Amino acid sequence: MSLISILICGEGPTDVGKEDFVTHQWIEGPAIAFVKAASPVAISAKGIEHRALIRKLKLQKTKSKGHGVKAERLAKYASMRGYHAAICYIDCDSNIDKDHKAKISILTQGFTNSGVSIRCIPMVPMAMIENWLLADAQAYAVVFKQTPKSPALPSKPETIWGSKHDNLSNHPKRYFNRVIDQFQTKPDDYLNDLAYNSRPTALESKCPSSYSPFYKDIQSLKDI
Amino acid sequence: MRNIVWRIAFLLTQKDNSITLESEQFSIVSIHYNEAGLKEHINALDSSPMSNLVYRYQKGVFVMTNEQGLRQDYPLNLSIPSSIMKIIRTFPDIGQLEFINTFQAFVQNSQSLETLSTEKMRRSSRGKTSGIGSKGERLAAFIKQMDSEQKVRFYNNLKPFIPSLNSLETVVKGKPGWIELFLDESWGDNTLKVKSSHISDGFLRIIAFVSLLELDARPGLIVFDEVEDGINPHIASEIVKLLYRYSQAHNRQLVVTTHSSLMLDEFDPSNIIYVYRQVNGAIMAQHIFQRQDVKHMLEYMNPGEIWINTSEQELVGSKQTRS
Repeated sequence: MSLISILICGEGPTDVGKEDFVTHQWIEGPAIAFVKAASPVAISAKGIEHRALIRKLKLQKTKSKGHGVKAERLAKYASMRGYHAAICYIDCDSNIDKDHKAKISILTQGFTNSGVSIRCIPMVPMAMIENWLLADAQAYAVVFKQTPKSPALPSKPETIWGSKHDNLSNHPKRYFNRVIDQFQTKPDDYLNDLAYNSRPTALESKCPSSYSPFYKDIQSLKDI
Repeated sequence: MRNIVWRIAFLLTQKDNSITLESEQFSIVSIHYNEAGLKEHINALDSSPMSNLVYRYQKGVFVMTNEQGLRQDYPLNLSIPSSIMKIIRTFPDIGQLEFINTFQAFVQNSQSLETLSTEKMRRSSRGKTSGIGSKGERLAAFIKQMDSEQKVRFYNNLKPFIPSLNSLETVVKGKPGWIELFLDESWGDNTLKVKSSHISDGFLRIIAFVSLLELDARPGLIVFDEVEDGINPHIASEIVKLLYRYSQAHNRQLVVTTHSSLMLDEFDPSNIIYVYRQVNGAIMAQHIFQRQDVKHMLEYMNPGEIWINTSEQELVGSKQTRS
């Protein structure tokens, strides 16, 4: 069977990636690397910027709200363009389980409202992509040739939180930066490398609230 | 060099059981620049070289104020009883209120194309003309009088909208001096010469829009009504780009009305003014996409989509609407 084609829309270049200005090729971000690592089948994944998606497909009446509009638009566009599946990525922006469920629900409602038959998967790390990147020490051993010591990886990455503007806080971005800063040399593409080398088993164990349901959804690609 | 930014407040009045829309009040911010492009004052009332003067006309009195709150009143009858587009009186020796004549020139350079009629555009026209006429009735004559450089540019601007176009011809036909428009098209190996009475409404309106680019570049205002009429959805974006291009290149402000959500999607949200009526019949206008509660929806939707998917009450943030 040919590759399963997936269209992924995220929030910005640091998650799903971005289009190259000159070549128009999609430069993959860590969210796509997570999808590829979790997929049970060979896939070809292409990203699309949200603004581009808004330009390319216009909605008429919709019952979707907020990010659900994005999910509905993505599903319709992916279906129209012949993709096998669509993945809508958003950050949870919270470490509270209830907020995560609400985000998943709003995306799922958007997919349902689209009325399309292709496989549609919500991807919502709690609280953001950095939390998942902080899950597997072995991925750091592969990418940086050593595991983080100071600080070490959090035991429950999904729960960390703090002020975004305080470099010493436990905000996922700040914590992740401190983890990365301890390594003298960094590969150019370490974000993607970390995502691709993070083991689903480790992610499921350390990020059970947000990664496990995503991983389960991704496994359904083998039924296409 | 000067730049005038003006605002008109339309008033809805009720007299003798009839409702009238009047433009009794407008204000002008007059900013004066020196040759180096720096702001400088030229008005005696204005003591600060960097400040703007605001002139407000209301019911026979010009009120001039500066940023320090200094005020001077000038009783003048400006005679704008019904529409700002109508010619206002000339003031031959007006001294420091000379800007009024500049404003008058601005109004005179302005064109109201809200009654653009394809029926009129199809008709022959003659004589010298500075524009296509308020209904488009001088379109053929306007194209005819373009010089060769203009005609090449006009064709190049038109071609992307009408790919089958070979040329646009203006031919003297019938009565001497009367000019008729012909569209020369290629379809495969066939060429067709389509006379204006057979050109579609949409093509005629596109021809009119593109011809605007050949108008003189003078400050003024152009009004278009129902810009989407006869326009295929897939070229809506290009038409709006053309209008923006025209506005910038010709230093003219465009006021465009539309009932098309698709067309609305193509405009800069900050330029969109939503016009609606309150329950008491008053006509209101609002920059809805500058309101935070509507603006945040732009993260997920185009302006037209928001319009379709939101009630008027939500859009204007008030219960004082008809719906």
